[in-house]
Amino acid sequence: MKQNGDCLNVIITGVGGQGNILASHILATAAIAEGFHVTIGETYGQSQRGGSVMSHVRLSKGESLGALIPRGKAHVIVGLEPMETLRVAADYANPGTKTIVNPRPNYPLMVLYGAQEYPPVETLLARLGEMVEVVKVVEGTELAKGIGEAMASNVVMVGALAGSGWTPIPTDTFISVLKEVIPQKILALNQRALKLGIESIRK
Amino acid sequence: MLSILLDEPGKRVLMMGNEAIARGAIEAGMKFCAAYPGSPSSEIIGTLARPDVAENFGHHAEWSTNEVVALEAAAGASFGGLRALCAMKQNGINVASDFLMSVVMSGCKGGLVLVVADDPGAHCSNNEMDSRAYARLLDAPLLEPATIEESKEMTRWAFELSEELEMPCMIRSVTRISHARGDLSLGPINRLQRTPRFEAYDRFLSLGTVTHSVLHGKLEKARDIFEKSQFNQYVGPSGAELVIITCGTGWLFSREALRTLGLEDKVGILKLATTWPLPNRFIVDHLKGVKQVLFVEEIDPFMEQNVKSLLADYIGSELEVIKFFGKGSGHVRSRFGPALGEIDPDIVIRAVAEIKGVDYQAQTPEYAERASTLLSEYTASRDLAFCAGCPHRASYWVMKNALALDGRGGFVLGDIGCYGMGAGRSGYFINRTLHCMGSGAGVACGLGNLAKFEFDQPVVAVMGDSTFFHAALPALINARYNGAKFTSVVLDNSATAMTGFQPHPGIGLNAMGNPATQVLIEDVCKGLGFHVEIRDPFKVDEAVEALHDLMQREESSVLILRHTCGLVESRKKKKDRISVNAEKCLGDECGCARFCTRVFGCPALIWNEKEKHASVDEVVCTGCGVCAYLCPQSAIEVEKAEELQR
Amino acid sequence: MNKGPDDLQSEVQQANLCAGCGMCVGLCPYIKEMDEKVAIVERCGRSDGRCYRFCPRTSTDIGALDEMVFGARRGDAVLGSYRTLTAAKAANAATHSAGQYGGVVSALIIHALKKGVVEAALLTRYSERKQVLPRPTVARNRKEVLACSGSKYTAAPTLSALQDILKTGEKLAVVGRPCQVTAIRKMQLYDDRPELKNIKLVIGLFCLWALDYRRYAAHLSGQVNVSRIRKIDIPKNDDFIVYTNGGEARVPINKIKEFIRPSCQVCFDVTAELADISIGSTEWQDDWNTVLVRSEAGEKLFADALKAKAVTTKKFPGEREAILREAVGAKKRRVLKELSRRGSESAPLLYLKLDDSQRALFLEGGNK
Repeated sequence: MKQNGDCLNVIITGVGGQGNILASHILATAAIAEGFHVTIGETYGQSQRGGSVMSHVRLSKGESLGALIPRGKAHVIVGLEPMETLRVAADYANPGTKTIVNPRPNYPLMVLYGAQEYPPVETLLARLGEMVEVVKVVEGTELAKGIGEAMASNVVMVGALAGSGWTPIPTDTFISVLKEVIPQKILALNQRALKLGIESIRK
Repeated sequence: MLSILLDEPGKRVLMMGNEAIARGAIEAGMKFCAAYPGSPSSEIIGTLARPDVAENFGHHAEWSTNEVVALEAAAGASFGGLRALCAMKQNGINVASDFLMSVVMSGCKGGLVLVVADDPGAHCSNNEMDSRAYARLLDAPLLEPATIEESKEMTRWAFELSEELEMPCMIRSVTRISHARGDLSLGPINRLQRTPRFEAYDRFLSLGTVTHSVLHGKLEKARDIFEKSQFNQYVGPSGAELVIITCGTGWLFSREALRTLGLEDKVGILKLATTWPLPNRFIVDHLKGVKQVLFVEEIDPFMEQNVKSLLADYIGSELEVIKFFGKGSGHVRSRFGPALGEIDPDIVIRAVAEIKGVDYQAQTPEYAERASTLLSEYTASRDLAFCAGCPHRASYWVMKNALALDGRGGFVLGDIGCYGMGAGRSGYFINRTLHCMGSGAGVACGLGNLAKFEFDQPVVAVMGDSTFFHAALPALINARYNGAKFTSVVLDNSATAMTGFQPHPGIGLNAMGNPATQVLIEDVCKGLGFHVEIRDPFKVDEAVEALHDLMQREESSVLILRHTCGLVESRKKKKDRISVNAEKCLGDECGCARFCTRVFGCPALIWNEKEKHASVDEVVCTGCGVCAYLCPQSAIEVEKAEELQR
Repeated sequence: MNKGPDDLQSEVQQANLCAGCGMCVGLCPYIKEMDEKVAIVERCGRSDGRCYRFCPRTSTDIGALDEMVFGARRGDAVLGSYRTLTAAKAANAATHSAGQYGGVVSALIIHALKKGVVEAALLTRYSERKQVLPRPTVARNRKEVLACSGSKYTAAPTLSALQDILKTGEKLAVVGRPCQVTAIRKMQLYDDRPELKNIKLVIGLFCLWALDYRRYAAHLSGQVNVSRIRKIDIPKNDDFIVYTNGGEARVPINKIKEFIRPSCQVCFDVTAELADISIGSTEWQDDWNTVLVRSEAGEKLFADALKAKAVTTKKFPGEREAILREAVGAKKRRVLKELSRRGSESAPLLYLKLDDSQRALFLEGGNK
């Protein structure tokens, strides 16, 4: 717990359909298990439709916090998509912010139409690096594809957060709460995804 | 186990605001709930309608055809003596308002609670409105929870309040409550066992001024109760010069603002949970000696104006002269301005900093400037679009083609929901109007009836399948009756997709997933005397010809473009693998000039800039295959899921 | 100067000059056709395009096209280049009776298929779903050819199917109206795709006008039971007669003429001047055709068909030739006048490109 009193501000950002909400749910459940108050500010409703999505996950002791993190006050940003990570960092990061990024682009419509450009991912990550303290690249999609389900990339990324040591939650707690959040049918797959993420960031 | 099912008082669980409201209803012994889905309110009934939840607590849950029907149904259950809940988004209260205006006068028996979830910032709406104005219009008690935990607690309380006052009680939530998640303490479940009965003496009559005067009496009683409510509270030093009066999300934002600025010991916060009628005495008592008041609330300065109006009677007597800050003064303003968009902690921090003359910067100027350069140089706008595999994209392509081939200047009158995107790039800018559920058909009743003024453009009205039942039917009947001529296009994806795939009367399942009488759209239309055609929008050429031909007819007609929502379909089956044969892809040559990526605009189709051909993002692609059908070069290939498994 | 679909839209579509030939439709996924109306559905963004270049209503250089097809510019300003003018009819009775007049088009196509001169023919036949709507079809045998017999009276944008058939690699015959023949020739002039060599035979139909399908079909459906139509004809400028299984219906020719496509009013070519063989009615004997054999390929086929007794011929009387020339010449002069009225400095005759000597020749209506 650092900065701005007794709280941890995490932003999980991505594009509609990437499983942002599940990712924040896992983190929040783990935090509650560790006795924290948690508030998640989620923007969805149309999030399945290709728009930017971000979840503000706020851990606190003492009292609950509002659903939105103030500008410049994110401690950790987990980016499920590189451009979205940069977008969120511009508003919410500070020089001490730590980031974990899945470098696989999801192209916005205007890029597909040819009306706008998607900068090279290396450039995006380099610019991001100038804004924050740490950029950890975790190939979430590729790792998830490796276990047969690209859609599990969100859980890989949560795994990376769990293994990062940047939250006050023990890694084992993430592993143990997974069954509370994920249906039995796809639990084993997601457990593998979470572990891949943990291993990946520790390399 | 789903936390809403737990009967473990005191256990702390994570819940979404809407789940908390649902849990509050369960803890109050609610037995009947009804709604028409609408973000950000949908998960309230969505949760209560889950088969395990409905079965466990024994309540009835339904997706009604629209909001006024939902409210009437809930009122009916209340008239029978049960506790009943009705939920809707802000648009819904407009639909329900006619009945609402009279049910407050007639009163009710079992606790009747109406939850309206507003959407400040219009995250998931095509309008931005503050439904609290209705509470004042209705003379109805209004509660505004400020946290996830309060959402549950106040919902439970609202049932008691409603029964005490014998009238419906309104709860106003917002997106940042309904769609936020937080931890809360579970309460005991009231296993209320009432046998509903419409007693011989039961009368629920709205009778003009007579019942209006009864209503005013009830409102004063509500005020008395609110004066003592524990949900209204003051925190901060006594003798503060500046007091923030706030409600809803403003409460935690204000706490954070004072903490961030280090002003917790200097500035007070008066949190109101009952914002109509106002607890007059409670407010006045906490403003003794106060010189500055800052109002913090979502959207309209509703509380701000009501409190100012109240204080006008006390300033100069019990109270000192107060300088007011808020939306009226422009201190509480989003990037759009005051009373526009949603509030956030930064808005409150800035307002307090400005009033107190404190310097505050979220990021250093140098850092903020770099950040803004990054935004403009390295990020592309991410517009909303129909999902990969969405049948509506094909349907809009069909409409675009049919209109062009008809060539008489025909146009499309739109609808809201997913079809709202028909007004944007993803729908080829086809929709020319965007108002409310069913309004496409209604507006077509006017534009389609101007032939005698030599109006000769064909009129097409779009509606969704759920919209058809919600609000399009009266317009369609009107078209038959008054002879308006237009072509209705029902975009039937067999789901209320925008709000989370709730079933509707055309599907054959009820809210709780049980089989229900299926009301077929085509049967209804045929019954009304319309010529009806049904096509699959993925069979684009057939659909274009059908629409074109219907537009040539002398009478109004209906085209149902039917294909299941890609998201629903992708949950059910393994997807086909779609890929681009790079050798066949023409790319930029004279021919298609990148039809799939530049024009059709499916998010799964990507242009490979280096190799100058299209490719498919296998993660995004749902395998619908319509691009393979449309590719002029037949360069897109489909491998069937069954073959892939072999 | 290169021009593209936006120019096609403004100069042809919006100017009401579209002849409905179908050429651009087959070239481009954004140009579509429905009930004979052609529409550009979406801008492709190109500033040059085949759609513009091959269109018979964009800049059309008659001299260059003559040189490509016949090896020389024309001497005959009225009927264009030709080798023989003759009256002919199909020798086979069934072929003859299926045809509109002499059945020569069907007879020549059947002969060409039989002899392997071509393997497929792009023709039109009525749609099975929409009344009196001709659709492109590919015939590969006698039966399929005969199913396409009879005049259609509307634009019949058959060329929309041309590109797909060319891809099959089959040797191909195309039958079309003068605008369609011009479109094919422009394609051959400006495009060097190898598959264009598969077009072995272009038979042109005489054409004074084509009807706007939508208005015409709507009118007919109010007049007769269109589902029972056997044949449609205009015997010697008489009324427009629709023969049905339940008798015949007459529509005054002046009424029908209201439905003529505006583009036909500025059409300079009545006898399909760039075809290998051009075929029309005789206006004097219902069961014979007028045949203009124009190119070397046309001459070869016609001679062969005659030898094989697929067609029989007789001399085209001098006085009938004079009448034909007068009718065609009058239309050309009328159209030239209209084109110069509508022309601009950069395009004095709108789409028609003639040098001064050609223009003078046309205006005089001179003979060989």
